[in-house]
Amino acid sequence: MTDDPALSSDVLRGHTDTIVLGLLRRGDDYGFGIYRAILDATGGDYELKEATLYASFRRLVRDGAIEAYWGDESQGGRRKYYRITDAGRAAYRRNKADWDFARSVIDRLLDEKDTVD
Amino acid sequence: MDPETYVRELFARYEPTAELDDFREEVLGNLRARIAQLTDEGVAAAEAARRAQTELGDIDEVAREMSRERVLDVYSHLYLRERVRPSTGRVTALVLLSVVIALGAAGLTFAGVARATGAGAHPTIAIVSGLVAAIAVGGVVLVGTTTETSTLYPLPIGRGALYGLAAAALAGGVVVGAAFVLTDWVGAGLLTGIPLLLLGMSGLIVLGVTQTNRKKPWVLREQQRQAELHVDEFSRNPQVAARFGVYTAALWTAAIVAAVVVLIAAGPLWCWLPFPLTIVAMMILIGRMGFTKKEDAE
Repeated sequence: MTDDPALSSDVLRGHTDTIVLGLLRRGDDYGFGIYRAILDATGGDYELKEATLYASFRRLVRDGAIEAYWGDESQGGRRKYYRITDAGRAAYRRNKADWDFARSVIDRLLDEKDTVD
Repeated sequence: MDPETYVRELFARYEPTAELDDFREEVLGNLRARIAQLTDEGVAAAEAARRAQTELGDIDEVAREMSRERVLDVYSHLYLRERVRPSTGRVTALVLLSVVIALGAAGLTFAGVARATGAGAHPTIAIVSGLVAAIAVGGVVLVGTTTETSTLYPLPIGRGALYGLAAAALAGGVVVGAAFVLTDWVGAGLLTGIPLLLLGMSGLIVLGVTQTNRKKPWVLREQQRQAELHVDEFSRNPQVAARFGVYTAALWTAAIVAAVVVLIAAGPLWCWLPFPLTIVAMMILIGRMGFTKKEDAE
């Protein structure tokens, strides 16, 4: 494999809910749209299974963080879209704050290790 | 493999529900969208289908949640989401009342033991303890029925009070009767105990019969959902139920005729035999007609 930095699937899977909320904040989207956005952001190198996304959608709908609705499609089928709710926006803010805090703590710890060397 | 076949085979193993059908439609739509994107980028159709299907991953957990097996889990999740905690005041009241009941029970036990060991009768202690405990029982019922829970709405105070009174009368009847018996005033005990008991019981019966729905909407919805999923063949198909009815009538007519014939032919010793046999036949009929073979295929 290459020496490029890698994104472990475990790390991303734990934050899937927040990532989905973050993407839906920018606007409603459907399953594949979210999948493609994540694919583009990770440069296509990362293997996020769609099943993980479906589990995330289901969780978020159950918790009332997002709502689902069916939209018409030009090809005649129908597509399931998701929109974020106020509860979802609040959850996103909280999760983002948690993530920022966790990241700053780990950054600080790793920085200290470097200076000791 | 084309996406339609892939999705159909993937979902074949799950008991269908409306939610699962929606999910299957969503999966197929997203699969098609991914394949379309890949073929636009120049990937061959078969390879695009294969890659998209691999990227889908394992939907087993999600699908199982949506099919009938996980109905119970949904209920507990709803319960957690709709959870209502009683106020501190109510909890305190319930605790205090329970303490009073315990004290009353202790007093009664003391009087009973003293009486049994011949240490003397303490009629006052017995009766007072009993009454106090009975009133506290009524209080607990009053507080309990007028408290909102996660699954139930609170009763109006008036109705809760009636429940409390009935419960107190019931408890009081038992306790007062016992207290008087302990002090050898059996006659007085029965004279006060039995009417109180009957009063309490009839009160509870009347209240129970006139009780309207207390359950919260989410509970009713869940129960309805579960009922729909577990409906048997007789509820689903009235014709099957009607056929079963006709078969049952025929069976029992035949049973009566057979019993008479046996009675005439072989005397009264064996004439009852057709009836247990008919019951067995009825159960077999219910087993075969009431449930479809589809439900065996889980």
